Amino acid sequence: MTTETPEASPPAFHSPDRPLWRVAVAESSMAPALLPGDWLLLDPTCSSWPRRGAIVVFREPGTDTLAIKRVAARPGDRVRISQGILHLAEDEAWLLGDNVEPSIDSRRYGPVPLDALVGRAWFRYGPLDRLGPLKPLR
Amino acid sequence: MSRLTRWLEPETTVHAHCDIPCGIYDPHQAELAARTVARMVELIGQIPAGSTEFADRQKLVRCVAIKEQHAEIVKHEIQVIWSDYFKPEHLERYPDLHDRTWKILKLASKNKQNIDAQAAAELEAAVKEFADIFWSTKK
Repeated sequence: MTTETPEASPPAFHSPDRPLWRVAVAESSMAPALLPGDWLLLDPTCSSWPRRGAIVVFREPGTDTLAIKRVAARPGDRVRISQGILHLAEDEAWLLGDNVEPSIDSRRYGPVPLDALVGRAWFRYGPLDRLGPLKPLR
Repeated sequence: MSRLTRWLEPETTVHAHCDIPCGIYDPHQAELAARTVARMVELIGQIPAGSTEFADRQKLVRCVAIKEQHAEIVKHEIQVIWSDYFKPEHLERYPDLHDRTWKILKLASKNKQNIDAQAAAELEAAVKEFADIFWSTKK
């Protein structure tokens, strides 16, 4: 058994300069795929927007809170919005909640730049009865 | 809490933001925040007493800030479940619900004011009991 080394950073707190591996979900715009209280593993090493349908954690434009949504469109894609067609720039993605009606997402804050991406959620490790990899949709 | 549990615990919360009241509540965030408060008190206790080292002072300031922030999260989360989720029929089953909630809010404030391992443990236990009550109404 090893002795516990003092931690540089306390747990349950995330500083922007440290990769984030484990998160808990709050709120339900991603239900039923993700429910509040789900514990997820992230891949914080991705350097580009993952494929369409993947679930990503990012800093929400405007508020800077950590949000979780699905990639609906990737850089270079065209998105139909109420004002017409939006052409996503080379670093932008369009992120939507699965519960399209109540979700606060790109329809509210627009395209999300790559530097706001924190990681891709790929595995649910809690609760145990729903343990398993997260399936991309669409 | 064991080191393993601590190792497994999520580092933070991510929001699947919603615009409308969805009727989905979860005391998990309050429990996580209460755990964080207790952990911060623990970490503060590990700082050598009277140290004037910059690193120690920085750690102290950080831990105190996080302790206060998470005690506030406990208050917010508990208040939302108390005011928005619990219904009169739940109160019939748990007549001390208001009193419990009030005590948790007071305990959270006490944890903001002090560095007190006992108060932190009491907060964690009280939030756990609150969560147990919440889940028992879901059965």
